[in-house]
Formats: sequence, C-alpha cells, structure tokens
Amino acid sequence: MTPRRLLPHRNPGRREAVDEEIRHHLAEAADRLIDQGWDPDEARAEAERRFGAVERVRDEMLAHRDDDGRMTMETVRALAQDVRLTLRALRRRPVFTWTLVLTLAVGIGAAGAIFSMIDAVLLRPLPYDDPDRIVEVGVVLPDERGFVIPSLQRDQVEEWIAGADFLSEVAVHEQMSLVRTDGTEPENLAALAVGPTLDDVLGLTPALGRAFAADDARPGERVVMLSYPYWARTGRSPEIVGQTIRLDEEPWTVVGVLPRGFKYPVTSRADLWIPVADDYTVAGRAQSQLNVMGRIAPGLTLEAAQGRADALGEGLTAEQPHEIGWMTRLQTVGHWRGNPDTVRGLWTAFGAVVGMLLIAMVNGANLQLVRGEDRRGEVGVRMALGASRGRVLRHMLVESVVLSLLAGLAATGLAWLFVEGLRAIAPRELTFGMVHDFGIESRALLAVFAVALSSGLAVGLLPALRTARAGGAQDVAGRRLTDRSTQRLRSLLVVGEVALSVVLLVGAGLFMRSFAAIARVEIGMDSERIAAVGLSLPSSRYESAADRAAFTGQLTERLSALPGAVGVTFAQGLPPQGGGISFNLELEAEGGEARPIDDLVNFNTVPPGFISVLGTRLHEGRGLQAGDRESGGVVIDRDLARLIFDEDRVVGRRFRFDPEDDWSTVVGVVEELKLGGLDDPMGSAAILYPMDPNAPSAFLSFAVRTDGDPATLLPLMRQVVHDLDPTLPLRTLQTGEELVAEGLVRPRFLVLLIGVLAATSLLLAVVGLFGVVSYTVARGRREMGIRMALGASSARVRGGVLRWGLGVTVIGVALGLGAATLVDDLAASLLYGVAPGDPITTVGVAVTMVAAALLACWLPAARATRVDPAEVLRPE
Amino acid sequence: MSERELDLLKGTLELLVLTALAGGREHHGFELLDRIRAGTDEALVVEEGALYPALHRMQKRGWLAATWGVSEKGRRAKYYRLTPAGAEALDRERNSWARYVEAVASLARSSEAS
Repeated sequence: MTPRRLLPHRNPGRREAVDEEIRHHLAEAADRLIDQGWDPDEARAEAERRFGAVERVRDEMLAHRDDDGRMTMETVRALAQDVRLTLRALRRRPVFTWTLVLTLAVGIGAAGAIFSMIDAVLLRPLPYDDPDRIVEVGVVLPDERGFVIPSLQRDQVEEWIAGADFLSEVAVHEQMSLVRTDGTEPENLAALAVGPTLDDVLGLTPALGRAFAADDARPGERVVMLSYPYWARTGRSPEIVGQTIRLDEEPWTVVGVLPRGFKYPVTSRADLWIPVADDYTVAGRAQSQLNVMGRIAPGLTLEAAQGRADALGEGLTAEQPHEIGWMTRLQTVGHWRGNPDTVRGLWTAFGAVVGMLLIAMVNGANLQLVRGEDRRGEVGVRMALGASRGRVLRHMLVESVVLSLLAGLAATGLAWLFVEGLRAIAPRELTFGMVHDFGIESRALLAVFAVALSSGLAVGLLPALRTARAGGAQDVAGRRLTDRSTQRLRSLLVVGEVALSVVLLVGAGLFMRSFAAIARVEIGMDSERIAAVGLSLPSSRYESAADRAAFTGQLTERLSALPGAVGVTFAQGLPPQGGGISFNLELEAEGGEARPIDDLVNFNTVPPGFISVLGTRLHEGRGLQAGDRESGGVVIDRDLARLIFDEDRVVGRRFRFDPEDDWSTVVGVVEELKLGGLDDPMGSAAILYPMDPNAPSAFLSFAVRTDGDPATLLPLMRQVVHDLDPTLPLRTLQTGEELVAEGLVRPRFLVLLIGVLAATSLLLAVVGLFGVVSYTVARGRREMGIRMALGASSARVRGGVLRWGLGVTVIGVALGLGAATLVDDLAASLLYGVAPGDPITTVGVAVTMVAAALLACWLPAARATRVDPAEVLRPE
Repeated sequence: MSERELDLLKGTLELLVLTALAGGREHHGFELLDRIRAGTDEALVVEEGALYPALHRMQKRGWLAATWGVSEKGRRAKYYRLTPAGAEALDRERNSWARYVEAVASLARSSEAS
C-alpha cells in the first residue's frame, strides 16, 4: 500500500526517528493483540515483551557497524548524540552542573594562573640560541666568603677578554639611566649599553631597522635601539628608524627596534639600547666597571671552560696583580632566574594551589558519586532494558568529559582573570628580572586543558564504574539505602578534603601572622607627615660634586619654603627600604679584644637633621651635627648597639671596619631603624654616617615633614623640582605612608595569594562536607523516620549525624596538622617573626575547621529531625 | 513456538525483506513482519528485535530507501522500499540462495541415497 505523503515536516533527529519507529511498531503490535481480545494495558506490555530489549535494539539501529566490523560515522554520531543528551541532562540539573563546573574551574584556573607565573619566571626556556652555553662572568672577591660580583673592573676587561679563548663570542654591557628631554615631560629611561658583538652572542633579529654594527662602536657615535615595549608606548611609528631623539641633552639617531618580547639576560628591562664603544666608554663616559657575557667555545663543557678561566686568572694574577683579583666564575644566564625567596614563594603558592585543586577534585568526585547513586535506578532500568554495561559506562564518561571541558573553558576564563589579578599585586622584584612576560599563553592554556580533562575523567571514572557495576534488581526498585562501601568512600574523601584544607589553612595562618608581624615592625620613621620625592641627577648635567651640592642646597631651600613644611632632609634612600647599601662589613669593638662582627649591616649617609625630620626617636646621645664628619662621629641604631656592645650605654664607644680605617665614635643611638626592607630579618642593624655636604650622591630621596596633609604637598614638590631643572624627571613622588606600604608589597603578595587559596579551600571543603551530609541525610530519611517512629528522640538522630561529621573532621584535622608540620618547614624562610608550628595558628586552624564542619553538619542534621515518620513510612 | 517454526539462518532475513519489498511495494516494519509470516505460512518467525536493525543496516548499505508517512491507522510510520541497488541485491541474493538450497538439497539427496 502506498502511504499518504505527509506535509513537509521537520526531519526528525536520528534517535527520535528510531524511537518513533519502535513506538509505531509497539503500537501496531498492541493493536493487533487488542483485536485478539487482550486487555489494552496487558497488550502494550506483551507487545514490549515480544519486541525484546528495546534499548539494545535501538543501540544496534543507531550504532551498527559495517559488515567488516569497522567503526562507522555512526559511532561518531552516537557519541555526538551522547554529548547532546548530556548537555540536555546537565541543563536540567543546573545546581549540580554549576557546582561541579565552577568547583573544578576555580581549582584549575587558579592552578593555571600560578603555573603560568612559574612558567614565565622559572621554566620557559630562555629565548636565546642555545641559552645553556651563554655565561656571565663574575669576579670572585679575594676573601674567604667567596662573594661574587657580577662585573669586571674597567682596567681588567681588555686583558681578561684577550685571554678568554674559551669563550667564542664575548659581549660587555652596563646598565644606566638616560633622560629623554624632547617629550612633554622629562623622562627617566632605563638604558642598557651593550657591546656591538652582542647580536652574535644572543642571536638577535631586530623588529625594525638594524642591530648595532662594528661602526657603532666608534667612540662618539650616538646611535640607539628602542625596546619593543618602549617603541609601542611611544606611538609605534614605522618611520622611527633614522629619526633623532634627545637623550641627556644630546641628539641620538634611532637605528632599530628590538624584537618583541626580547630581553637581555641578567638585567632588568631597558627602554633603550646603546652601544659600548671600542674603548669601553659609554656615551663618551668612562665606566668604572663592565659586565661581561660570553658563549662557551664549541667543544668545551662549562666545567672545562671554568677550568680554563681559573688558569687564566692565576696567570694574570702572577703577571699583574689587581686589588679585586682576576679569579672569575662562569655562570650560565639561566642560573639567576628568580632569587631563592621568590622561587620558594612561587613553589609554596604552587603547592597551595595544587592542594586546592585536589580539594576541588575530591568535591567533584563526591558530587559525581552522589549523582551516580541517584542514577542507579535509571541505570538499572536501562541495563534491564538491554543497554550494555559499556554503553552505560560510555555515556557516563562522555558526561564526565563534557563536564571537564565546560570546566576547562570556565577555568581558562578564570585563569585569565587570576593572572590579571596576580600582575596587579605581584611585587616588582618578581617581574623585575623576568625574561618573559607572564600571561595566559598557549603553554599555560594547554596545561589548563590537560588538567581539566584528566581531572574531569578522574573525577568521573570512579563514580561511573561504581554506578555501572550496580544495576541489580534492587536498584531498579530504587529503594536501596546507601551501601556501606560508598558511605566509607565518601567519609574517606571528606577526611582527605579536610586534611588538605587544614594544611593550607595552617600555611595561610602562618603567612598572615608573619604579615601582621611585618606590618607592626618599627621602621624608625614617623611616616604620617612625610612627603618624599626621589631623583637621579644625570651625570651629563651634574658632573661634579659641586654641581650636585649646589642643586641639593637650592632644592632643600625651596622645599623648606613650601606651605606647612617644617623640615627637609635627603639621603640616598628613606626607611624602610633605605635605598642605602647593605654590605658585608666587619666591625670591631674597642676596648680589650677586638671583636669581628659577621652580620650584615645597613648604612646610609645623611646630612645633620636627618633623624629629627624623619621623626626617628633618639634613645641615647644626640643626632649628627656639622663637624661629625671630621671627628668620625656616627649614629647607630639599637639593633647594632645590641649586636656589638654588651652594655646599654654605648655613646662614646668606638668601632671601625678595617684595621686601616679611622675609628668611628658613636655619638648617638636611635630606636631601631629599618633600612634593608621590612621583612628582611637579617641586616636590621643600621649605621648613619655624616654626609659630605660638598659631595652628595647623584641618587637622592628628599623628605619633607609637614604639619598638614602630605598628599597636598606632592604636586607642589613636583613644581619646585621642575622650576629648578625642567629637564629633571622625578623617580618617585609619594607620601611616607606609601613609602612604607611599598615595603609590604612582597609579604602582602604571599599573604594574599596563600590566604585566598586557603579561604577558597576551606569553602570548598565545607561545601563538600555539607553536600555529603545533606545527601546522606536525604537518603537516610526513611531510616531516620523508622528510628524516630520506634522511639528514638530527635536529639539522638541529630547526634548521630553530628557524630559522623565531627568524626571525619577530627580525623582530617589531625592528619592535616601532621602533614602541615612536614610541609610548612619548607616555608619557614619566608616567614618573619613567626615559626612553623606556631601554637596560635595551629589552634586557630583546628578551631576554625571544626566550627565550619559543625556548621556544615548542623543544618542538614536539623532538617533530618524534622522528618515526619508517618510520611516516610507511607508505602512508596 | 511451534515445531514448524524454524530458526532464521544468517542473511536469510535480508532476503526475506528484499523479497517482501520486491515489485516496488512500500511497507513499514510491522507490515513487513506480517508479510514475511504470511508468505512463509508462519513457518518462519522473524524476531522483532532483529528486523529493525536489519532494516537500518540495509538502508545504510543503499538497498532500501525510507519515507515517513501515515499508516492506515493514522500513525506516523516509516515506509521502506527497494532502491535500484536493492533490486540488484535481491537478484544476487536470490541466486546465491538458490545455489545454496540446491547445494544443501543435493547433499541431502546424496546422503539419502547412500
């Protein structure tokens, strides 16, 4: 018979079509049976029975293979179908879906962000040809400490390079600062002077123009290359090559732009590159020292090259002794990456983020487990209808993969956000020497996705296997209570979760206490009413000491005349950073035996009145006065007084650095003065030397004490400097409070980072606990109803839930505290004023965790006791 | 299941379907079952669960084409018909079936004779 054509209709999906075909068959078959006198309901049941396992037939129809057994496109389509079904199912359960996706995404995103930071700082290969063979040359100081300074003296460079046949290419460099004056505001630019052979050493292809050539090394040449970021910042002019810019009042010709992302090893970022001349002068100025880099000659190992360098040093020492010495150390340029504290901080953060990711995964597994339990009924029905175990498993795995991909997408977005956040709060010292910019790049993206996928699978696999293994008749009935092994597995997961967050919380607690200790540190300055401006006097304009003295005199005078100013002083740097030099000094105590002091001591060279302007409290004696310079008077802080003198009264006592030096006499002792940074537990001792008023340094910070708001003073100070020298850029301009805050950047970074990670972990752990308890309670309603009907009091039932929650929490806390003692020793060197195992932190964390766990258990437990026995006992 | 019912030999189902659709007839699955049963004096019982996957397999192979239509009872149903390739396949299958039957029959005869 010919069917009537239907009006054009939506082409049904393949699965719908198959379902419809089966449905049609069953309807016809049932009709036939009804015609034969069957009861309609029984007829439908009988038709289905005769048809056989609907699910299996449907699968065969959908995903049959070619006769030779190869997988066809059908399998792919079936997978796509699974994905569509999964997405639909997930849309129907938004709470489950979003909880799982966001939980994983937060963990993975945070891990991705930290990883991209570590990758940029420590892991990514340096962007030079064969970077492992590029070495920097340091001079080993001839004392027993083996201190290495990373540069050679000017009068050493030529001889040393001439003898260094173990290096195939050699380049010299020196960092300096140049002032560009052809813009609207004079601008301080970081310049890097490099030997013209540099591109041979590093392998460099300019983005525009050319690299330096041999001619550029003629003394008196004024050519400059712009760094890519500087070129981009100043308008990206494609015609920049050949143009002239004014640096330090002289015309310089731009010959090229460096490639994007290119950075010289071992130096901070430079805006400009200029050549070092053949005679080792830079911009016509003689350098006192130069840094040397080279490429190890082919065929030599680093060790062999070092051996030849030692031989060269011994030979030169015999020929022409030098006060600094000729002994050198070759270090590959990758060697410096990150100072040890930074590296340790990064790995600490990474450990924290991995811990958090684990917690997120445990939560995910728990959620999946709960969902799997919910689906046992569904799975049981499907398997009874003939769906194979593999089919069910595949479906559940597809669901895991879909969820992890969603999580991966969300994680990528979050990672990007986190990285932006990290960049905003990262201390400069972290990004200072970085060769690579850090951002979410392909490597990090790949890592994020790999982690997302594998964690999604890991999280999905276990519950999927458990669910697929089930499927007995009990499950179809759906009446089965949570079985014991699942309950045990969940308890185990919660214990792990709690333990992990305890470790993180202990870490965060320690960093927070450390931060509090740092923030409380007395810096020896009353910073509230201080306004400060930092300047570097370019040697082109302030060549002689007299020029600098004249300038500082005039500036002091004009700053003193500002409204509200009650005092002005200046120094190389201001507390707490000091800016002063922290150097390894040997101190001798006078009287009886001389005592060498091995600690680091900071010193600053300051004019009279320094301590009174800063508000540094005098503990004993007096501040520096005119004439102290001639008589050898110095002021020390109480840290140093404690360090080198036993008694309290130290005014009048003398010490010196070197047997050949004159004695210094202590004329006053001030309260503890921080010059070496806030969180540096070493070198807290400080000496103030009288400054030579006729020869101030070129690198200066001026401090103005005001009786008003220091912030209102800042624009006036800018104007004063501008009036005095319109070509002089300001290095810094900030209030005393800002000055102090700067010293807190690094500790705050770690506290913020670890603190946020730990807080998130705590939240995740509590959510996980809450979820498990709620679910257990929901599943156990019937049982509780029965128990209450049999006379158990609600308090008893509630107590049961709470006891379980408290039990897993206490075990988790105990394990976590144990693990914390192992892990936190690693962080010990990052802490200030607090030690690992700190009792306050330990107790605080334990109490927090138990309280949070009790809360997470209380709510579901309270709900449990509102169970109405009559309701749950009603037959289902 | 009566003693007259025979198990379906592998590949036979396809021949039965092709035969049932021969001559340009169009049927949905349930009708095909009826026709096969009627056409074999109900000697062959086609398992319903086996028919539909076979139909899809043959459609995929290009032997059958299908159209959605409305059945006599007013239900949406999927109607199958032979494609030219299906008609060729029917000839081929018929021949090989005939040879098969011939071969088995001659063997049966010879063993009877011996």
